[in-house]
Amino acid sequence: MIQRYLLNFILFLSIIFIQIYFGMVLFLSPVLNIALIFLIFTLFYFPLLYLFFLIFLTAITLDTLSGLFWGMSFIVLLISLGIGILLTRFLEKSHSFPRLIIGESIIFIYYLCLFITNLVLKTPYISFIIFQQFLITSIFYLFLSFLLNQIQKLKVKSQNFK
Amino acid sequence: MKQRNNFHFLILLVILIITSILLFKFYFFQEKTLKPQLVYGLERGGLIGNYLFNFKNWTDDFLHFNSLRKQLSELKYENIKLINQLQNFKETKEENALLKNALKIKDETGWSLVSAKIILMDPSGLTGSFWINKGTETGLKEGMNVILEDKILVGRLIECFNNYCRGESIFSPETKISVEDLRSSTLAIAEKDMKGNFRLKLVPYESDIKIGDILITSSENTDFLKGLLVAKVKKSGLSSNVSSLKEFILEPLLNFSQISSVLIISDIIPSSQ
Repeated sequence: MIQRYLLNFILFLSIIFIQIYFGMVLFLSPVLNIALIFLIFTLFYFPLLYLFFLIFLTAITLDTLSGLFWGMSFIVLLISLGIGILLTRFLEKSHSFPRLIIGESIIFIYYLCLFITNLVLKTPYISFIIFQQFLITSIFYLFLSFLLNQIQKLKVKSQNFK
Repeated sequence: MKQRNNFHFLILLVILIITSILLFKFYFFQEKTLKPQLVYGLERGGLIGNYLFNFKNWTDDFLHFNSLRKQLSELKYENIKLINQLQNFKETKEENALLKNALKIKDETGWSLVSAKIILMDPSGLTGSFWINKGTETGLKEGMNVILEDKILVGRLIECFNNYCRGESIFSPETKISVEDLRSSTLAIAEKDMKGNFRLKLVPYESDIKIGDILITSSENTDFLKGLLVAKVKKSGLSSNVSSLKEFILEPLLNFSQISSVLIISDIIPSSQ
């Protein structure tokens, strides 16, 4: 049990590290948000308290380094993943298709919140980058979900075969 | 039984609300502590970060193979052009002297400069923020201008801690820089379009700005010092709204691959002048 958490946390740290050093750009440009995707998968497999802990750590990192204003990532992550948690109440989260819908909704809400925040801050060209980031992240999530689904199917098949 | 369940639910809700309030309070009040601590931690882990950064550059090159090839052919063409231009060496030499004079090299300006390393940048790709490894202990303050060795404007410092400062590059949201054409001394304002490109907007049709002109910061800026290199005029076109006005697309002189260390002008803070 603890091993599972430990592995997840190490993976989380490395993903945040990759996000920081891979996503580091001075030119404003679309970046794949792997941290958000990781949080979505954590939502499906781990309890809420642990998820909140990871959200907290992610938000500290993004708020520190991005600096549009302190707390923006924290609120946006809480809203989007909070809605994701609510969605899991209505949709069966153990099947791949509902998971896809939940995940995509979280990504959509996350970027919608960023979009609205930036509109309020009157930075329209950033909105364009947000749209590009949304597309990249949602496509990558789609691809990952599909891949995981295939792996799980293969696992079930091999177990049945035994 | 049902009443008891409702009571439990209410208690849980109250606990949840109190925890949320405490969490929010903690988060928003710990900004000054959390920021430098995290930057310190990430700087320590910079060795792996450097490997990742190099790998990112490699992947970038790999993914932009076609554009690199295009750039190579453009460079080849430019090389031939440059060989031809060597014929006009005298003229170029004179122009070079003029540029040097106009830009006033570091010694002539008398600015006191502090060098610093860029240790982290915005991972979200939205704000163009960057962190440097020097802070208030070396005399850095908010508002100071950040430049490169050749006086190319990088941005300015936004917030400073003991050992670190966060800066905002010229690629940050809503950057508007008042610029001056180095050749003709025409004044204009450089701002960003929807895609984040720099443009000179609403320039009068008769104004003397040509492709290839170099733009420097003018004295009208509140945030930047006069005489710092900003961009080169890349393309021109008519303004879509008013036909008597021109628009120019600019190519920023700030090159991402150049940025590993920067210089901070520490004795003048433009915004406080």
